[in-house]
Amino acid sequence: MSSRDSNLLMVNDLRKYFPIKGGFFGSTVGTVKAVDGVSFSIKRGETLGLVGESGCGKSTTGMMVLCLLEPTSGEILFEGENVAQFNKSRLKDFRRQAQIVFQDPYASLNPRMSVGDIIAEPMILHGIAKGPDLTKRVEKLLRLVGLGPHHGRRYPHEFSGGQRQRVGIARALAVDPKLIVCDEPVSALDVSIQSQILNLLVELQQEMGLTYLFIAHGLNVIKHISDRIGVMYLGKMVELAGGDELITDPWHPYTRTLISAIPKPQPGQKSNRIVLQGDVPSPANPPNGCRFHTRCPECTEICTLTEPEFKQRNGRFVACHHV
Amino acid sequence: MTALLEIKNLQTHFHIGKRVIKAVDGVTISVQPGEILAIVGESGCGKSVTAMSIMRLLPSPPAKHSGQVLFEGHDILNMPMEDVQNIRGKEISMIFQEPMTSLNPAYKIGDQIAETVRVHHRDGGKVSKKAAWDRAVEMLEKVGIPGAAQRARQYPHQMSGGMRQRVMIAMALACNPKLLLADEPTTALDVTIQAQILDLIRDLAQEFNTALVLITHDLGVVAEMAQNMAVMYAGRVVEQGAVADVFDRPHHPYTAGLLDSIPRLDGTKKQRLHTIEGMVPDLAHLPQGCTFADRCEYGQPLCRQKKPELQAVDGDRQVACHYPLNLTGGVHP
Amino acid sequence: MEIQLKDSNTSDAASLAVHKSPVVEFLERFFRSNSAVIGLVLLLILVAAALFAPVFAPYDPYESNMPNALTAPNSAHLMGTDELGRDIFSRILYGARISLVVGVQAVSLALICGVVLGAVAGYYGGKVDTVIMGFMDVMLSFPSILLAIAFMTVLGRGIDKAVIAIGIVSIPQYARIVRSSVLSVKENVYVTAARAIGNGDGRLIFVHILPNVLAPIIVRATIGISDAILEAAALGFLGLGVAPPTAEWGTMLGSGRQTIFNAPHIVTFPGLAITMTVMAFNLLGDGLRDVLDPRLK
Repeated sequence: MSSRDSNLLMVNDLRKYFPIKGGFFGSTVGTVKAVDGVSFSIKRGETLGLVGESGCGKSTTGMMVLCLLEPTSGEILFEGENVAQFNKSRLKDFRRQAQIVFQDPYASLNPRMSVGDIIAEPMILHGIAKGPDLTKRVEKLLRLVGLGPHHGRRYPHEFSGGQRQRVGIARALAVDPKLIVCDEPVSALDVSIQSQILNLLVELQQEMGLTYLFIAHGLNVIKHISDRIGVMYLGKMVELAGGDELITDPWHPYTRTLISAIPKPQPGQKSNRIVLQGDVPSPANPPNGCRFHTRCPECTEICTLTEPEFKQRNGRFVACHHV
Repeated sequence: MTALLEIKNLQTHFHIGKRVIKAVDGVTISVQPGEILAIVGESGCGKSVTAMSIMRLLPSPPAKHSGQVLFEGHDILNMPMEDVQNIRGKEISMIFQEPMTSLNPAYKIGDQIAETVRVHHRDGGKVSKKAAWDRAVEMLEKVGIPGAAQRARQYPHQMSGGMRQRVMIAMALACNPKLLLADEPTTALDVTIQAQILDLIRDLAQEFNTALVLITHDLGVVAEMAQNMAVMYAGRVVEQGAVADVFDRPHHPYTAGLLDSIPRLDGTKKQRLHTIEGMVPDLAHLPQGCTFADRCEYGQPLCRQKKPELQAVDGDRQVACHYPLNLTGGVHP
Repeated sequence: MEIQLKDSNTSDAASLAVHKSPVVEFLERFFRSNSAVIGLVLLLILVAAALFAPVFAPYDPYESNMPNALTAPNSAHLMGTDELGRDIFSRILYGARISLVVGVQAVSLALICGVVLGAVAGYYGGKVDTVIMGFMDVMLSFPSILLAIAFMTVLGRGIDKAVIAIGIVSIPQYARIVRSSVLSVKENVYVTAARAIGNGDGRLIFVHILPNVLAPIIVRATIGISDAILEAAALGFLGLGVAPPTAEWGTMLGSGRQTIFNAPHIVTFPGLAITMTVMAFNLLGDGLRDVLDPRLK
């Protein structure tokens, strides 16, 4: 019971299969296993990072956690309650507690609404404030994310990418949520702006006690912000460990590859890079056995036959036959 | 050694209505044969426009060039278009960021490479269709595409992003160019694929003795690939030098800020990152003084009055700053 | 001084200077577009003619004067008289009222139905979409004038009936445009964002999606008014539209066709009036397309 209390979110064996429509009458000719059995938990006030390459299912996982996409199977427990069983009013209440910040600050703001209206909308919807109180709260949120009250009257196209991302963060904070899913929030930003936003997210977490599910493909960004990191490959989680442990002592060969593949901003230090052969296999037709075996430098026969279990060892989780 | 490419005070301005957008505003760069030079900067700094200007690929109007782009001593900006077309693809080729849209979806990839080979041999002896096709297959093998002879008969949509970028590289190198311009060649790719492509570009550039201008925003890529680098900010080169030196002792506050802003794998968790406050200036309303003055933590009154010119410091290094940082022997005010 | 300049709140003084309200921006762009302005001017002339017809018209448009029938244009009758001796200029002024009313009302009817059907089909997709759009496709497979004729035969003659007939047959055009725009707009991340903060389906459609599909709808509707006016004229010409004594351009054209060779002015002027109206709306529509296209911003 106590472990359940410290966990804000628990995800058990989550799956999402998308049907591939084809043929003459839109019959289903296959399925894309975008997420295929993912489990993790997030403690209150913690940041869990999800990292992986495109198509690994990390964003799909984030969308399911927020009930923006219906899982094919598996359960998501938010404060111990199964979100799949929420009725309409309970779902609306859930939207007050779990929010999202998107990747593309250009596409995630309605171009026809002023920034003030964008930030006010969630508070109006949930009856949090109205009238002068609402205006005051909008101004406070704008200041909180490093913008000024005068920005409220402007429209999204008048802002730079970094400022729009601040607006997106203010909108998420408007309902005073417990959990924020950050879906690649800095991937579209330049390095100098990226560090501003990362600092802001860390400060807000410390001030407001927020819990983050932080999704990104850049391992250095994930490492910077996360307490624990989950590495995903082809719809599966292959390793989950504390950030420092994972980087200094990676157990899964894919994690090792990812770490070595990042170009390091240290000239002269020619890293002994593990260069993987071939492409990521299609999630519509994943390999048998371990999903990584087609590209794994340490692959043996067992890897091609049986899928390794995602097992706990010394407080970390890994799915590999050769740990 | 004479430079292969010498860009002298290149300016590319876009005239849109009454506004003049100074996308490139005084770039001076030289590239030696066989060298790998990285041009690094954030979006809107003019690094891609510089590459497009070298190839004269920008529609004019609205683009207006001035300055010189000397390729083997000949000014590309003042050449008749016919001569420019002879240089494109044969002497200088380009790889773009988007492997999805830079190949024509209507033709087999082998035909697209063979076409490039044939176009550039029109004057100097004919190349038979068969020979051009063989060359295409040979190039596909060189860029590490398994089963090249079969793959050459495929269409772009049948290949993954990484494979398409390999095809682009094969096409770019098919005529043995002296200079390859790579504009963010791996930005759209996943990190494990990026590692493959970067290795491939570096090895092939060496094998073909091709000079490489690598345009990127990723300082990690610069550190792993290039010998020399030029840092651009708001249409100008602010710092130039050997990669190891620049990383070790950045002279321009912008370079220093950029290097400090990157979260490092060995950094401390959630520790405050260095930031460069504010935003890039509006290219239609550039300030009178240094373009970085508004965001610079070391700004002085002089910085707002006078534009600093790119000048030699510390031997081989060049910096455009009135008060350069980390000078050997010098002390910052 | 230094600190203040580094503050992100103040560093964008440049963008503060260019801050304009969307209305001002729209007007500025509108008046830079030649075709929009010409269209608007023509339209204003038409509206003025329609509103002040009793003031400008030198004669009663319904008063016949047989001795004066079929007079060529002269100083007393600017556009001549028709086969019953009625002043054509006066009739054209009054006719502007009918054409504008028919055009605007028919398009409004089509627009309301089309937007709702298209938005529902595009937003919900699946079976709802298949049923609605299937029905629309069936309607589109007939030439619209043929359908309108069929409706008029059932409904009988009259302005209001012409409005209904023309309105109904143009619903599919609007439904199609709205549906395809909704399909592309609903994929935008800001729609997901709106869902994530707790918006329901209704608010998603009407607050977050529809305002972002307005531009193509406004353009289509403007050009649609000219189509509706043409169709009303065609119905009139075929003797199915507005009943004869009423001064309607198409009906005027139709009744003039027997005398087209000895008194060509009877058909020339109503024809010109129709052409000018159609042109006004088309120019305005084209201009609006340029003004509202976000890619040109």
